Amino acid sequence: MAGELLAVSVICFICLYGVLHKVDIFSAFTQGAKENTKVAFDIFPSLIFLLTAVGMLRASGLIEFLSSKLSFAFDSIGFPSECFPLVLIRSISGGGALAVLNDILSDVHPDSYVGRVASVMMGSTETTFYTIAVYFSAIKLKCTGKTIIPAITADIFGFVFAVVFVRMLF
Amino acid sequence: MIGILLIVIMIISVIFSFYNGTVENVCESVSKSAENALQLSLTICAVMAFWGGVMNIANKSRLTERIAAFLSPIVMFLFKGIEKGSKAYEAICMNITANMLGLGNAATPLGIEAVKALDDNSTYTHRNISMLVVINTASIQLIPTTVAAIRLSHGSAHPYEIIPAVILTSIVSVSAGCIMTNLMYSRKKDNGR
Repeated sequence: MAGELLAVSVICFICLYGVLHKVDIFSAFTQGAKENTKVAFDIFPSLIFLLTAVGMLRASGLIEFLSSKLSFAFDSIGFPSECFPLVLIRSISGGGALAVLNDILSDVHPDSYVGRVASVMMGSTETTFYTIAVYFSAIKLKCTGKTIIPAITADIFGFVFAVVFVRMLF
Repeated sequence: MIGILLIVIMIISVIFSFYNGTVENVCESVSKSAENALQLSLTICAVMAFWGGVMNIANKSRLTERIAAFLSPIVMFLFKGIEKGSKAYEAICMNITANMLGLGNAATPLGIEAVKALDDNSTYTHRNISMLVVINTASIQLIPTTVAAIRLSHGSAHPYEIIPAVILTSIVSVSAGCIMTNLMYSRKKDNGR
């Protein structure tokens, strides 16, 4: 509820701010929507490949097999084992993580505990290694552990606290 | 890189399906995947287009620059040896704002502009660049639009209900990243390296 109220408030505030600053909000909106439409469809070809691979992996039953073997370890620390594949791929491939999240949410309801944890994990972390590569390819400096270690620390905190905050807030 | 990973996943799946007796399921999933990808793209496209529109209004009405000004104390606290009003400072502020609003298209060029401006061989060069990259690798997006889109496509009644949890988690993870960066460069002689 609070989240939806926030989303609606942000929309209203931005539109109102635009009108008060004499921006043609309709043309600004359509221009931005058009740009993002292109972005969304640019990922479509790679999504086909990613969803095929992840779909095959799920259909083979390997994820369930490994989850059931590892579940005692995850259960003992209170970590939902269904989210483990997402943790593995999140920092490496954004599209891959999207495919895995899509896969998890077709197994469990998005409004369930596991569904929420997976959603929060996806929403609060980034494709770390891709981002590092993009920024360091733009400059001459070499990327060292002093950048990678803090970035991975941030990811780990993201995964752990996704579980903590979903438990606290729902 | 990702191509090799996917091929490995596919081969493992096929081999395991023989062991597990799920060959039929695997074959069936291949024929369905392309259609699933299209459905997913359509949902993501609709939600992303909507938020792209809203955030472009924020951009056009210079709201982003107002927010960037508010970030000043945080930016001055996290980055050392940069001057207010310098090119690097402006780019950092705008990069962080664009990330918060989910303007991915704008955030990356601004971030690259910022790291280039920071790459000036001063005492804090490496530290500041690390800090900016770490902030960019920890998602600080206020409204997780893509996640909301996937939740919607799977029949969530409240796709945005995760926002408070996402914001709190992001604050914790980005803080952890910043503290860790600080620790990495805490010894004086390390600042320049």
